[in-house]
Amino acid sequence: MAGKIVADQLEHSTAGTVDTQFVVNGSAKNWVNFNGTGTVAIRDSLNTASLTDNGVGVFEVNFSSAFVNDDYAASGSFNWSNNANQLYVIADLTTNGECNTYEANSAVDRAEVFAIYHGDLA
Amino acid sequence: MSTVKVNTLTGTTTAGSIAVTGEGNSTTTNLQQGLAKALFNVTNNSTLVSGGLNVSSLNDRANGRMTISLTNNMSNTTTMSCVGDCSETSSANGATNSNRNCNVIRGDNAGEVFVATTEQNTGSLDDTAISNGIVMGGLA
Repeated sequence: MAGKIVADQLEHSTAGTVDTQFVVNGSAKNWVNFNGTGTVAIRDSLNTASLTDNGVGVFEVNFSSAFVNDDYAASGSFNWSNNANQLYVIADLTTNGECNTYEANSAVDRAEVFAIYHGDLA
Repeated sequence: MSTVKVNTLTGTTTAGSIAVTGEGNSTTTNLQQGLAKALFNVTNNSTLVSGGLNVSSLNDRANGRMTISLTNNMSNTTTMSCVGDCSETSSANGATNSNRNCNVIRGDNAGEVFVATTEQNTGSLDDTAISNGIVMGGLA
């Protein structure tokens, strides 16, 4: 590491001031963009070691660096199809989160699946 | 309390990469990659609410379909990770608030995202009172 700044606030000349706790706590600790059809494939991500395909529409996002506990927050989105769509992006273990895609209560694979996880890193 | 007064944070080794020590005091996370690159809040699938981040305009393409244009492009279309949510009515606790889904996905180019709002019980595209979204990923 080239250098380290220890500070409680960041102040911009015009945009205002933010406590660095919001930078540390508020930054997403994981996000992933993947293709859930066929052989699951990550397009891009942060802090994602791999994806586990546990069957049609059922995926685990495996984190490179674990969360401190399993109380982190999860959200997501996926490409819409002309039917009742459901997406379940939830916290599971400190080392992985669940991401499940459904259509009309049946699990389906989707080509565009996004998940974001916020929380505290270990 | 200490305050760093600065308009731009730039990495020394790599300009676009700064490590932030995580809450557990050991693991680091990437500052730039962890920040939302766009935030938007829309009323009635037609109007961008002020206070968003990196969004320039809204194109109401059809019932339940919008295109949100970004001020600064993402690095490419494949590196976006987007989320969204919406409410059928503008009241805080309306009985029908939950009958909408909001899907936010990458657009045709790196300067836009597509938003689809649908009725949860039928899956049909339909406009909604309030919708919002977040875009993560790398900026160009």
